[in-house]
Amino acid sequence: MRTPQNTPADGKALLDVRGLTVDFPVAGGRGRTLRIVRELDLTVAPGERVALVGESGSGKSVTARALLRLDRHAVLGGRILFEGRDLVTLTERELRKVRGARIAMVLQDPQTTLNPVLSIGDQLAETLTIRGVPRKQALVRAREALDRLGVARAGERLRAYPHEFSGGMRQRVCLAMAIIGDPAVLIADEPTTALDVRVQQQVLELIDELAAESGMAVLLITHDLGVVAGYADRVAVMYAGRKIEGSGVEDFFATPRHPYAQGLLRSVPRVDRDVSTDLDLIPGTPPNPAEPPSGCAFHPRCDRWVERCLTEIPQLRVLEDEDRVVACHRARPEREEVVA
Amino acid sequence: MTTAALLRRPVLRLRRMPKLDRAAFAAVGLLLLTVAFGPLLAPYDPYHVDLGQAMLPPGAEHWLGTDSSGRDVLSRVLYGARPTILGSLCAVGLSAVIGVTIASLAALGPRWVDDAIMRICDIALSLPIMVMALGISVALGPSLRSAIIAMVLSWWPSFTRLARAEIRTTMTSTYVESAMITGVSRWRLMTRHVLPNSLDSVYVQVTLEIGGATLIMAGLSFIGAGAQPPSAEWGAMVESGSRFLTSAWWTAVVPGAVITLTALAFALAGDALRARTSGREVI
Repeated sequence: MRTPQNTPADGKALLDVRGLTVDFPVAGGRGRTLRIVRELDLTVAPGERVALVGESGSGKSVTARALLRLDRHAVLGGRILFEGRDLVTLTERELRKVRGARIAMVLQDPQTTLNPVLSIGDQLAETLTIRGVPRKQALVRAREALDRLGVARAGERLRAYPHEFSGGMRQRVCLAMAIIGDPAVLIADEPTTALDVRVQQQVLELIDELAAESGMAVLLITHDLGVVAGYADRVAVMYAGRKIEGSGVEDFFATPRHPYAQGLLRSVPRVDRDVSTDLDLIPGTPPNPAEPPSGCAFHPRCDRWVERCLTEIPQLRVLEDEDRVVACHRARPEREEVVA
Repeated sequence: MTTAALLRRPVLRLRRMPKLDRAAFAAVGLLLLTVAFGPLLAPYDPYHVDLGQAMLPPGAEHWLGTDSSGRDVLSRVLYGARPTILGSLCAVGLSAVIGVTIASLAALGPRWVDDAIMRICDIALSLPIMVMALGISVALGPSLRSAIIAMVLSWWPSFTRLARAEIRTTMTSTYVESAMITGVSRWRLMTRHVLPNSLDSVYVQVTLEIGGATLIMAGLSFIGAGAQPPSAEWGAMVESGSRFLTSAWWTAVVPGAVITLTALAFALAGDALRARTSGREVI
């Protein structure tokens, strides 16, 4: 396991997200906006595997998409520092040089991520041809990429169309598409949610191998804690658009500090526990981003809230003696050290 | 159903096709052949005036008779396929190209561009195409070319509306996003990823509209706003023949029947094509 680094803004970060906010205009709301991601800090070191975890609606996918500014109507705030540049303020033209070449992304549903009217070869080669690589050479690299992902008869498959592939194969093609430009960071937005369990594992193993081979960093967006345990070095937990806990993966599973993180872990079925005991679910539902609760967004569902949780939004702070940040008033120790 | 898949599927699987559709496609094929080779098949010069042969009824010499100036009606009908059908094809084709281009601008540009384009379309679509085309054609000075320009000017909004809806749907699809992730330019995104997956219904609409366009083209010529006599355009032929309806009915009825059949054939073929694009709704 690689060394976890937890201090945000630690200088060695490859991707350094600071105070990211994402607002969406409300349809027909006359300029009103909804804040989906709030003051998010996230760092990814070279070669590191970071998991971003949260329920549906926690803002994890929006965060991932914001990193490449995929939502045309989203308004970004804060900074996304990558290779000396701020992706938030980059021009469209400059951003296109980052997309695919430096930061690649794999999307959720491989059934729909491939263009039905283009052959696999054309789609794979495109990342390279738009950057001036001759078509022939690009196709050779496309074949190599498919080979690397264990697609049999790669040369023939280049001429095939997406509908001729199964779900798992398509996700391999999508992965090939992502790595063909040799990116420094791979963002995987729930890459296995749409696949069956066996294929899920194959795809995750593949991502892992590719990352290890090429030293590529991986930002894994998932709601599946099993995936986190197997394929991440560090974890960041999101709730209602905020990061509420961040730590190395072993610390996270051994001693989660935020009540929400603890709840998440308790609600996972475990083989070493009696199946007849009920799963310990977190009561209630995530808050509506249009009307977030006062203070800590989690307090209506928390079993340990105090007066202070109702009024004051907890800031991320480093816990003493631990390589970990938590945004909770009740997390020990009491000594506070607010992260700048 | 996408175009590529559609093309790979035998669309014209003749044996399994309903008889009516088969007839429609056959008629369209025949009409297109006439457009291409009509002048070669014509037995006489369509502009040769011979008053001694005027208003002869259909017979062995002149299969469809002669008109008031003694010109052979069959030859004129064969020649007339070009201005009428080719003119309509041009008008609809150009409208579609312009309409799709403007729709792409609406989809790519900022919201106010989209709004502006759509309001223009709303205004244009609230006027009947025939009336608008008539006005524009007369203003430009009646001729076949004016008629085509007039039809394009009044027709593109309906294609813009249709294409914009399709483009917007395609733009939200994951594969367009995944193309964006690879870093393609907007132009390439549009031409390679969005449009090829958006234009099925436009193709169908083009086929459907050619029939209607033939009617409008002939209509414009009939009222004198399109092709001018003595040109062998079907609408113009009906107009000059209509004065002799009691004495030489064939001079008006033959081109009239051809217009009707053409419009019918294209409409039915378009309908069959629509049914074949896997039942997807096309307005």
